[in-house]
Parts: sequence; structure tokens; C-alpha cells
Amino acid sequence: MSSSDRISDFLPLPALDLQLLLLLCERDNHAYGLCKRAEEDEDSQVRLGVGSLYRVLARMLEAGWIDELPADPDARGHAAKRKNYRITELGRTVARAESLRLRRVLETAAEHDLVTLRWSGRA
Amino acid sequence: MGLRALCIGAVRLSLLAFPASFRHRHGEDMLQLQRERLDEAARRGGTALLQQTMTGVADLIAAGFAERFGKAPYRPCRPPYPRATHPHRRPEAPEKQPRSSALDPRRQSAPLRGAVADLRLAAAALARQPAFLLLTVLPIALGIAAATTIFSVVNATFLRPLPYPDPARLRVVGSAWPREPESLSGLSVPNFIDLRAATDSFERLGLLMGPLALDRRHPDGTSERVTAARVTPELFDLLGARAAAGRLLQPGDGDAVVLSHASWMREWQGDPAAIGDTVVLAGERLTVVGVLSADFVPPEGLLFASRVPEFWAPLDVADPTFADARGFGGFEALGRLREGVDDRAAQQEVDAIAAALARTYPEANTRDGAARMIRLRSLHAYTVGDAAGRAFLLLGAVALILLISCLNVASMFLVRGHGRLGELSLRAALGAGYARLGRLVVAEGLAVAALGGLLGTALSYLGVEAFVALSPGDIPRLAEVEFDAGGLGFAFAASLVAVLLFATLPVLQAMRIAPAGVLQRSARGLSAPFVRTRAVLMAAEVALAVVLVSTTAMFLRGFIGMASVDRGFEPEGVLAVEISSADRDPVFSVQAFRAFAEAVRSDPDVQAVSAATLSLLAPMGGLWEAAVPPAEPTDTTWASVVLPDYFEALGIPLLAGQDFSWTDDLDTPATVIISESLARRLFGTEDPVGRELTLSDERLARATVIGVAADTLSRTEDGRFVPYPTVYISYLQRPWLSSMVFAVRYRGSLRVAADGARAAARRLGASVTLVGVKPLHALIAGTLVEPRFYSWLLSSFSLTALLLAAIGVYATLAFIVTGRRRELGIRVALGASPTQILANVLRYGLLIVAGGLAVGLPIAAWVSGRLDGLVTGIEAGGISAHAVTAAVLLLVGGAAALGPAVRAVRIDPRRVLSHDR
Repeated sequence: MSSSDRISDFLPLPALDLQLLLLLCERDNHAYGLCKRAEEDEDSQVRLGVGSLYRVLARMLEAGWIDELPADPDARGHAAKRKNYRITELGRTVARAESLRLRRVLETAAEHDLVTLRWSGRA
Repeated sequence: MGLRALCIGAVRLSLLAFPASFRHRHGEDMLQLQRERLDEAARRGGTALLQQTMTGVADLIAAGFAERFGKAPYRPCRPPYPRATHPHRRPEAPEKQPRSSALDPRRQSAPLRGAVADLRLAAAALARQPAFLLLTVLPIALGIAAATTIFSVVNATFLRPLPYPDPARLRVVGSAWPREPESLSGLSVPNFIDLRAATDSFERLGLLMGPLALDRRHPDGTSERVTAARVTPELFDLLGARAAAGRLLQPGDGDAVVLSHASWMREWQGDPAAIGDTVVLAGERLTVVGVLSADFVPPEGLLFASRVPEFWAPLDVADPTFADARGFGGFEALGRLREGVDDRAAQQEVDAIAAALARTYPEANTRDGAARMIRLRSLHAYTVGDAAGRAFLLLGAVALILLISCLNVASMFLVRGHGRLGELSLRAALGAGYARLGRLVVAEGLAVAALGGLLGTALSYLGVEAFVALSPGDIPRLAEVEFDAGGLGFAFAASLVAVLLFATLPVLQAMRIAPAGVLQRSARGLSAPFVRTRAVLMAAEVALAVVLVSTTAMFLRGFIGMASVDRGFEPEGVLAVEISSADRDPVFSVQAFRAFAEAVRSDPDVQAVSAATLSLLAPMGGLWEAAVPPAEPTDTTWASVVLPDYFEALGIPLLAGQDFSWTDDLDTPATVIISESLARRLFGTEDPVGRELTLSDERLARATVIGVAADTLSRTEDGRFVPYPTVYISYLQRPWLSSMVFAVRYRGSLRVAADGARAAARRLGASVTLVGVKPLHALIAGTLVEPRFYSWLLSSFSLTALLLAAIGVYATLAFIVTGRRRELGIRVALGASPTQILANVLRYGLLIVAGGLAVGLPIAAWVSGRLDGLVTGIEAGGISAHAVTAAVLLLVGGAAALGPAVRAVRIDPRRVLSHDR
């Protein structure tokens, strides 16, 4: 599942999928934390319903983009009942592929003078 | 806390929308997340909590639906998006063939694939309209749940045969008097023995005495009150009972006892070593010989539903003490008819035996010149009895709910279909046949019905459990009630038919209309016949709701009347404490009861202590007769055997004379106090104090009236409250029964008073047993459990019906207003005032409700006439219940119509008219 041609099969990623992958790049998190982070991010414009969130999480688990962390034996209360998720190498690759695709989209947009791009950092 | 639990329950239920595998994998975690979100919302207040719940439920149902039927955004290992749509595909990615083999389960045969595709299409369409989904799925679920719950109960209790071998041949044999041949009471042992010897109609006859409340003494000296029964060995055979351990009773068993399975598990933890143990019941040492199997169902008809015996002791009919008691009919006889003997032949034979018994033993078997009858009744009818009426009342109510919910869903689909008339007829014009269009619409109907059914099934599981848990115990065979798949099937089928019927109607309409016509129509407004259909559907729904609401109003009126009746005493601040004396001879119990009263009274917060035998709420009937000498006592009166201070403790005014004295005993001159109504009956307007009374009692044949007490009201069997003419007798002068219910009037905390009573009982050691402590008003409330349960159940049904009717009216009007936008816009442009527009729409809504009332009220009046007296104490409410119903429905209808009416007022004529070219 690591060859780039297969990964491109999944592109373009639905916005919610990419957003979740990016949030998990930030740090390992549980569903509640993902919801909270998504709500903080005003630009995302994505409303996270629990049902749709889990549909995506389930599919990403199945695809091997994320996996579940073992339960923390020291956790108490709500924290003890949460499942924590972590992005896998494959997940990172997919997110990167989608980001590259988006960059190409933006570059095309820039060619048509729709946006001005100022890339910083590495590509 | 309760609200939060309810919200979480709703969320948990909506998880059912997801496929099971998904639920197993992620369900717990999803629930956890919802819990956290709900907690977060709860901190902002109840409204936020409800809002979050509704959002959560709608989201879960929509997502679950999409997961079940919808298109996935992507599936791993399969390219979901046509490659041609990727303009910036990397050039090095090779073109791939779609991988699909004949073994791939996704490759179904063409028609099946078509069906799956239809379902997916339908699911996707529905998932886009969560409001429509909710408004159709919820009524279906509610209707199915209510119908299945009640049907499960009615089927288990009234329709299914009893769980005994060959139940159709089991007969209860009882005695009755010609004056009331249907009122069956038990047989006496001698009559039973003679009947058994003489009859040929029965294969076998058994006898039961119970339930008996017996004191059981433990080895450590403590004692408790237990429920027991005495039976002849044949009774277990008749009921097909088996032993889980040891054996059941045999002829000749003297001091044996058989345990119920429950008490064996509870006390002996199911240990077979229980066999051979000793149990001391009412002073008798009995040896455990066996345990009944767990599946044995006690014969409720012969016992009381709420009291299941834990101990089954042998009943020895040869015991000589029974020989003299031919007149005492305290035993229940059960027999199995011989094969081929019908009821009529058996009854004829038994009639002849009864006549012979009356001739041979006239003193015990005749009364007022009439011979005692012996009558047969099937065990099923005897068990189910008059509860059948109540059960069918509930069944009728849920049938109405089911019908209302079907109508509601039907009209929702009708609206939706009408809205799609343009689309459908366009498709028809483009060549789609009936079949293709029908399949599309049917798929939607199926999806909604399936989801409603799913939710309804879950709700009815809960419903059956809740019914059994909350039921007041007046329903026979409640222990046998379980979720009934047949009932579910019926309710589900009914909703399915309603959905499919009304979902397909628009298809038929679409096929008839030319597309151009439809397109014009939808631009211009609504078709008149369609609006009429909707209005008639809604009026029918309102009519059904009227029937339910007015029936409920009638019940509530009766119930409130019962609960608020002033009985002539003050129950607040009185503790009822039941005490039984260790001594079985009441003469020796006097000392124990005096001691207990003194011990309780020593507490400074106790204002008065007294007691009555059997009950504080009602005197006993049929035991004593009273008259003014020289007349012989023939006039049956009611009697209460009480301790002194009774009137003070219960707050009953003493109108004349004085109370009993604590210094009275068996040797002091006999005294009685009579109630106001008895005084009037016996003495008219004369002063009764100081007069003599004769009583039909060997110890108290003559007594002096020392006081007159105000009347108290007691509840009759049919639930009315009447004053019973009562003679109060002092327990100190006439000890009767070895247990009493004490009334303790206290100041301050109930808990302190109850603890004080318990401590007093403990101080007296083994001479008394404390049976129970309860506030008196709880005892009174206990007598209202049954009407309260039915009022509560019917109220919740009515609220459901009202809610559905309101949704229906709202949806209809909202739809009509949308359809009439153009017309209303023109009216506004021509100068109609907002009030006129508002009135126009409101009038339409109220017209629908009025139509429903016009049809519903006469039906409701007819129904209430038939329901009169079904539940004790509740009578037809007459005109006022119907007036309340009409007011409630007009109010609800008006409120539901207000939303669309306001929307109509806000129509901007410029936008409507410019839009409509």
C-alpha cells in the first residue's frame, strides 16, 4: 500500500479527511480533541458531526492511514474511556500527496491570476 | 441527571442507524464522545443540552443511514472517482483497469444491483432531508413501539393458554349462592372431600390454601413475615410442576415443605444440601423435601398476583380440625376434566352433588333457604377475569396511536410526492415506466419503514420492560410477559402498508399527467384535489386524537377526583406501623401491643399512638351485626377493632361522648363508639350516648355506646368513596387477631419517627415482629396505584397523539402556505392587511381541527360510554371531558397553525411575483 500510484487513487481527498489527517499530524488525539480543535479553527469551515467523524475515522483505520493507540492504564474519568488515534506513515504519505495536489491546483490558479503564491519553506 | 440520562439514551438509540459491525467497532467510542459533548452542553443549560441532543441524534441517524446505504467518499483499494475528473493527475501514474471479479460480492446480478442502487439512491435522498426523515421515522417508531408493547402484554396475559399441561381442561371449582351465582368463593374441606368422592367428571382434584402470611423464625431468634401456601399433592400434578431438587409433596407428608426456586437460590444459593434443612413457619418445624423447578408458574388465579409463595407446605384434608368447618370456604379447588367430558355435563353432575350436600348438611350449605351452589370455571377465565377489559382498552388506545402515526407518515409522503410530481412526470416523459418510478419511491418508503421499524423494535423492548416494571400488579400473568415478535410483525406491516400506499400514490398521479401540465401546475400552485386529500387525512388524524384525548381526560378527571377526596381523617404526619404479636392467641397479644404503644409514646415528638386490626383505611365488613335492644342484631354493620386514642391519632373528630380508656380490660363493662352514620341509622335523631347496643358477638353481646365519631370515607370495590356505618370496638375488651396496624402521629421528621418505631419494636424483643413501616399517605397512595398507572399510560398515549396531530397540522399548513405563495403575494399586493392573511391561514388550520372534532367527539362519546367502569373508580366524564378535549385540540391546532400563518404574513409580494414569470 505504499506505492505512489495507489495513493493517487484516493485523491482528491474529501476536505474532512485531509483536515483530520492534518490535525493528527499535529499530535495524537482522541475524537473529542479532534472535534475541539476543528471548532477552534475558524478557517476550516467544516462542521464535525459525530456520525460523519466516525465514518471517516473508521474508513481511515480500515485503510491503515491511522491506527489506534493502546489504552492508557493511568487515565481516569472521561479520559479512560476515550480511544486515542495516531497517524501512520501511510497516512502521512496520503496527506502529503493530497497537499501536493492542492499545491498544483493553487499553482494552476496562480497561472490564471486568481491568487498570488508566496511559497516559503520546502516543497 | 434524569434529563442527561434521557439524552444519552436517545443518542444511544440513534446509533442503531449504523450497521452492526460498525457499531461494534466504534459504538462505545462514539457514545463516549457524545457523552462529553452533552456534558459540555449541559454546563450551558438544559436548552443547550436538548439542542445538542437533537443535533447529535439527527447527525447520527443521517450518518448511519449514509454508512448503511450511501456512497462512501472512498473505499480502500478501489478508485472511487472517475480518473477523467482529475485534471492534474500525475503523468507517471499508469491507467488502471477497474478490478472486479466474478467472485466479488459487489458484482450482483442485474436486478439485484438495480435494487441496491435504488436503495442507495433513496438513502442518499433521505439523508439530504433529515427533517423529513425524522418526521417520518419517529412516528413510525412510536406507533410500532406502543403497539408492540401493549400487544406483547395482552397476548401473554389474555390470549396465550396457561403454561400448564392440557390447560383447556383445568377448572376452578368454587361455591356460590344463587343470589350471586357469578361471585365464586372457595370450597370448605369437608365439601371438597365429599365432592371428590362423588364426582366422575374429574380426572383429579387438588386443593390450595393461600397465600398465607406466616411468621418464620430463624435459628438466631429473629423472625420475618413470609408468604406460603398449603396444597394437596394433586395440585402440583395438575399444574405439571417438576422438582429442581429433591421431590415434590406426596400423600402422607406431614411436616414437609417445598421451596420455591427463587427462595432456594436466594437463601441456599441453589445448594442441594438445602434438602433436609428445617424451616420454622408459624411455630411448626418443617423439613425441606424439595425445590420447585425454575419454570414453574404459580397459579395466579388461585393466589394473588403480587404474592408468590416462597414455601409450599402440605395441606392434609384428613386433619380432624377441618371436619367441623363445613361452612368455611377458604380453600381453592382445582380439577382437570376427564377427556371427553364437556362443561355442561360436568356442571350438571356437580349441581346434583351440591344439591345432595345442601340436603345432608343444611346448616352449612343453605342460607336464607337457598342451597349453596358449586360452580366450575375455566382456570384461564378465572385468572384473567375482569382485567381483560382494561387490557383491551390499552390495545384500543395503541391501535389509535398506530393509525395516527400511519396517517401522519402517509401525509408526509404525500406532500413529498406532490413536491416531486414535476420530477416524476418528467422522468415518465423521458421514458421511465411505472416499474422504474415505482421502485424508486418504494425504495424510499422501505428505507423509512425499515429505520422506523428498527427504532420501534428497540423502543418496544424497553417498553415491555418498563410496562412490567411499572405495572401496579393488577394484571394477571405479568411474569410471563415478554417481547412479542408477532405483535412487532403486525405493527411493522401496518406501517409498511401505509408508507407504501401513500408513497406510490404520486407515482400513479405522475403517470397520468403530461409533464408540461405538471410543470405549469407547480408553477402556479396546488391542485385542489390534492389539498383536499391532505386536509381530509389531517382531519381524520385529529378525529383519532380526539377519541384518545377525551378518553384520557375522562380517566384523569376520575383519578384526580379519587386522589383528592377528603376521607374524614388527617393522613399527614401519621406513620402506619404493622406489628404482629408472637403469641397467636389475641388475648395474650394485648400486653405486647400495650407495651409497644407505651414504648413509642415515650418519644416526646410522638403526639398520639393507637392501632386498628387489619387496616387504618377501612373498617371490616360482614363480621358483626348490631341492633338496638330489644331487637335481635340482624343489621350488618362495619367494625373496627381499635386501641384507645384512635380518633386522636387519625384526626377523626369525636362528635359526642368520650374515647375508650387504656384502663379497660376483658372484665370492665363493654363499651363501643359508633360512627355518625350508624348513629343516625340506629337511633335517628336521639342521643346515642349511654344507650345499649346488641352485637352478634359471643364476648361482646351487649355494649354501651360511649361516643359518636365523625364519619370517614372508605373506597368501595368499584372505587367510590362512601361512609360505612361503623361500630368501633376496643381491642382491650375484645382482642381480635394477633396483629395490628399502629397509627403514630408525630411531629418532625418522618425518618426519626420511623426509626423510633423500629427501636421500640426491637426493645420488646421476640414478643413482637415489626412487619412494615410506611407513612399513612403512602398507604392511601398505594390504593391509587392502579388508576394512577392507567391515567399515566393513557396520558402518555394522548400526548403522543397530540404531538403527532400537531406535527401533521403544522406540516400541512406549512406546505399549503408554500404552495399558495403566489396567491398570497397577490393578495398582499392588492392591499390585504397582515391580520387578514394571518386569519386566512389560521382559519384553514382551525377548520381542519373543527372537522376532526365534528367527527371525533361523537365517536369519543360513544367510546366513553362503553369504557365506563373498566378501571375501578373511573366513570364517564360527561360533557366536561369533551369540552376540555375540544379546547385542547383547538389550542394545539391553533399553535401548530401559527408558524405557517406568520410565515404567510412575511411573504414579500415583490419577490414572489418577480420570481414567477
